Amino acid sequence: MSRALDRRGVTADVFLVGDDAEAVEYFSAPGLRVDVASPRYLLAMKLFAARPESDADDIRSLYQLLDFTTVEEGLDLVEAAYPGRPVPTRVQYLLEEIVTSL
Amino acid sequence: MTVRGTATVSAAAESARQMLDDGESLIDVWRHGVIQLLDDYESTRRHDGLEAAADLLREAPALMGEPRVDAALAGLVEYLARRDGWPPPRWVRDSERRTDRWWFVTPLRGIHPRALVESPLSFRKRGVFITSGALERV
Repeated sequence: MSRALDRRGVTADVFLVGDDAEAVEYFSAPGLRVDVASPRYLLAMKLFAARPESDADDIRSLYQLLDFTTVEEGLDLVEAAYPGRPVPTRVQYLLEEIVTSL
Repeated sequence: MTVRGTATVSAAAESARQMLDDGESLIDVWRHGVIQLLDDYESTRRHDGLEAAADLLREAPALMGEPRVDAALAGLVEYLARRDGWPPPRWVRDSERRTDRWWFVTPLRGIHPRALVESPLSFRKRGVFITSGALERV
């Protein structure tokens, strides 16, 4: 399980998926490595959380960055990123709103 | 956009007012003003305890002249106080801290029915409507 640290060291792994094979190394030093998550990884996390107030603009930007245009592409990404976990209904409804406005 | 550290509700209100003066959108004020205050509260609660976190929210912020944001800040503070079992400060009951012009924080109209149903009491009684996950932090 990947773990994220906020600026005060709080872990947040509830929505994190597995290793990000497309992550780019940003910084490394002995005992420390900082990676930048890939757009697909970020989109999967944002979609699984599916908070309209906080995530919609980011999801729209990531969709455009990845050349995604359909609801199905987003749903497929979430299903692949969270195998065995049902995709919450809110993900589909949010995506339908966002894709309409692309 | 101003980036700031852990701050009180007064500082959050000032930051939000500055964002509005700079012409930033209400959704950005929500994300970088209201939700930033939530993050500051949660981090302080984890690291310094509940009393220290509540102290961030006890002093009344100045009204910023945008009732939707004034209402959202009061709603957030009352929500956190009730959730965590400390007395909400008196200032959250000020009649100016509500909006007759309902604010659906997401501009996505298809989500508004959800927000109407799911918005926590402390927000919806002030005219602010958010979905159930809006206050979840990733």
